Amino acid sequence: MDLGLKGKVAIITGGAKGIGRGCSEILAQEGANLVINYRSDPENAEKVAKELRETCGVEVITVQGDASLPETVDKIFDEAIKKYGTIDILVNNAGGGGVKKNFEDLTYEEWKRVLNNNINGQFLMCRKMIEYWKGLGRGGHIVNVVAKCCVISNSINNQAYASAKGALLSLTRSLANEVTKYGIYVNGINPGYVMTERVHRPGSERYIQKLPLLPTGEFATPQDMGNVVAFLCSPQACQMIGTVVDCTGGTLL
Amino acid sequence: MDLGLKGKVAVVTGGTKGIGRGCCEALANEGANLVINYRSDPDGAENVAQFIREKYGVEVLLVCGDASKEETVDKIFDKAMEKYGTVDIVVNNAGAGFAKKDFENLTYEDWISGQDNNLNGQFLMCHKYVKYWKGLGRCGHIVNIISKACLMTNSINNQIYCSAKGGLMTLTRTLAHEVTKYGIYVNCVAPGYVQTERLYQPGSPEYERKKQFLKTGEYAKPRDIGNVVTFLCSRQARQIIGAVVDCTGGMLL
Repeated sequence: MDLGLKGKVAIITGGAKGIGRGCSEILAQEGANLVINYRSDPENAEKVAKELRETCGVEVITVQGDASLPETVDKIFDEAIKKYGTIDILVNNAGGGGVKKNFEDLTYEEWKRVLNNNINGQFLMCRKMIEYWKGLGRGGHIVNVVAKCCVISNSINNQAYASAKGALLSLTRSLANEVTKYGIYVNGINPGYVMTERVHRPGSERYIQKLPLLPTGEFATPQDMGNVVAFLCSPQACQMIGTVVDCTGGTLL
Repeated sequence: MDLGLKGKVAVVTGGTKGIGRGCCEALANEGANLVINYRSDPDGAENVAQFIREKYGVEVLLVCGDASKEETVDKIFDKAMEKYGTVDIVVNNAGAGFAKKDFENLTYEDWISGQDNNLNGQFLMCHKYVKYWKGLGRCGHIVNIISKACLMTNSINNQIYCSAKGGLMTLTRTLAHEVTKYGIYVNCVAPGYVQTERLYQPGSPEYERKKQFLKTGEYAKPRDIGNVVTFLCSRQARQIIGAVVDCTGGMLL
């Protein structure tokens, strides 16, 4: 299936590790040129960029910065335009940094920090893209990476992260309702247990504990998520609007 | 994106018209060989089969019969096995709208007939397939076509159809829960306003009236739904399990 992404320009926040990297890889395999935002570890980001340039023959730039900050959002956008002159796709992947504590021990500062990382930055990125696309009278694709914890409540002591992702899910739907008429497609994916460096590293205690809960007996890979994200950015998915695709591997059943 | 469907065998019920035909063409475009069930119009069916063979270079077997009947379900599988020796994919597309009446005027026969067409036949197909597939140790796929009508209540005087499709949605989820461990992937797709031979003919009053509600300003095409169904049957979608994929073009927002 030719997803028609050859030569498109895609921004992936937090795109050098984990799910973000999976999205970067698959979009590059489909021929998209990339803007990979990363926060720390410039060496790793450069390595990923080089690898994708070589294996997929696409162009890749990396932009350092915390994607929850307005100045980073501006910087990502400016560097993308400077290099490519256009932006077609935004994958709001960056997030994380949940604080696991009993609710009564969670401070307001912690709450706000988690919201910054998981909804406010995404708001800023979406706003920037909508302003840009609407101004030009053209369409584009946004895919937000939400989390299963905003759909099921079994993630204990995780109120701030779950709430922020719940907000992102609702932003996805309500924004889609507002901007579809401008040709702007907004959708989301809901990842399940994904094997990443940070979360479910093979052999780790968390990995061993979670494995028996998986209906397929296997963790998801970042590339599994990337495949769905790439499909959502294609004309083949033109009837998927404000949809949050359950990619949890059956863990919501 | 190579979905890996070349040479796979897909059964599509009600596959010569409307959404079913869109599924057939999308699957054939990926190289899948087809078993197309149809109920009426054998000449039309033969034309479609010939068109697909020539355009996509795949094999097509036609099986006539009402897919809500046990003997048709048996016939579909027997003929498929006879020709191809396997069935990898089942798309439960056949279904039927129902005469719209005030609830109190519905007869029990109406209710049963609606269930036969929209839920019981699908049960029989799933049942036959799971029985066949379980224990083969390979990966198989079922995709059920549900309807937006079971997720929103604006389809007035349509209780029978809505209820049966709601049953099919739940069957999808519970069956996925039961059979994922055997490598059987079960998902469903909720189409929105799809322009088919039967519904929404351009120029008709119904076409013009509904058009104003469409978020994109355009009706879905059968192929749009077929593309999503096809993606769901791929390895790339392996973390999508028991999912209800919203392809309503934003109608549920």
